[in-house]
Amino acid sequence: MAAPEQQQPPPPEGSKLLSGLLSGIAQTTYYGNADITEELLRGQLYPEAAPEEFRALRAKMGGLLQSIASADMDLNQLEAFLTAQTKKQGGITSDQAAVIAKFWKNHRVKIHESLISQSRWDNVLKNMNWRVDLKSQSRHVDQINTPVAIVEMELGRSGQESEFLCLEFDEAKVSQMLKKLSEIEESMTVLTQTT
Amino acid sequence: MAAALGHGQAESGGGRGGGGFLGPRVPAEVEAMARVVQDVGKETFRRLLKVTVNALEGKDCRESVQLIAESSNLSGEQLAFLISGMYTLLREALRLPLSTFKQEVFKEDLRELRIPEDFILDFSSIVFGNRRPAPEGTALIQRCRLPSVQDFRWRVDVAISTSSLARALQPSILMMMKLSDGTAHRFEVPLAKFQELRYNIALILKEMNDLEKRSILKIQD
Repeated sequence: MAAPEQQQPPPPEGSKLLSGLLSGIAQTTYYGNADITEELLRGQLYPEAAPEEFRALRAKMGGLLQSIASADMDLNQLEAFLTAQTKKQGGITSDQAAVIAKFWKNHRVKIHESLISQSRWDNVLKNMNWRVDLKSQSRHVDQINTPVAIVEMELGRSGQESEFLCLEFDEAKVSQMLKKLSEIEESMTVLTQTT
Repeated sequence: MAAALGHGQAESGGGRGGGGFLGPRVPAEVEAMARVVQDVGKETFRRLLKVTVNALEGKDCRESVQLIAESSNLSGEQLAFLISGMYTLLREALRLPLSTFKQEVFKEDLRELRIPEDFILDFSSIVFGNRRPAPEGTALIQRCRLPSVQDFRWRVDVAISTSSLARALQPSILMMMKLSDGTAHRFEVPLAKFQELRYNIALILKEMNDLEKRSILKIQD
């Protein structure tokens, strides 16, 4: 593909524009912002470019970003990957590689999180609130002065209204729960040590 | 029968100011019961009352209900209305402290519902007499409680690869809780949230311990 946009060396602002483009791509692809359309990006960043030209650029950058994100590349992998791209026919310039590298450094964690959450289809624990009550008056005398914990757990999926679970725990149950959570913690430590 | 019930419901509840001890709106099942009970014989009523009291005390009454269903000419629906209505009525009445809730008021409220006088006397003897069910009965205690966790299971999953991530390697915890109200809830807990959960539960335990210590140390007058 004869890349018309490479006939002149990209002006220094080209880095800013490319950075803007990458941000725009991230917004739609990873952060779920549907308002950032291709038309909008073109109008904002490359108003003189022809639509097909812009589409090709966007596709190329999007593709690169996808490869990088899918592999969750660390800096070494990224450098190797981008260098290879600069040597390719119809690849990228070293200036563009620098912009992409800087973008990935800044957005890696957030994009990775977003991709992880895209494969969570069950309800997720979003939040928890709690309080501890002490019964001062009760019909049943033996319940007085025993503390009770009220826990509210927010469960939900992205884009859906949350469900709020209200639970009651006496001291024994809290202790039991803590024990189980410690078991989970132990199990995970073993897991992460062996990987 | 069902049509008559539906039609009748619009009429009552209008003139008087609610159900008295039953609150501003008489529960639907109590109204339904009040209508159906007109056609119930004394013997059957007393058997139903016994079943209801047993239910309030947390005993298993399925057999007794079955017997009543077989020996009376009440339909399944009528039986359901009767038992659920009687249960709610008694449960609400038993919640109120005897020091302030007087027998005459109770009887008057039941007269408003047009329950036959004989049956009012029977209800009354349960609430105010020595046949009053023991408060340790589960139905009465559990009313002021939220569900608690009866069973808690967990699993640690590691996502190796997904459609959008060739290399995920992300551990995640799956939890399954069965509650005392019979419901079950399954949800995923991301790592960061898990640490928060663990921290909070430990904090709750600490708070509870502190509270207990403080109340023990309180000087008793």
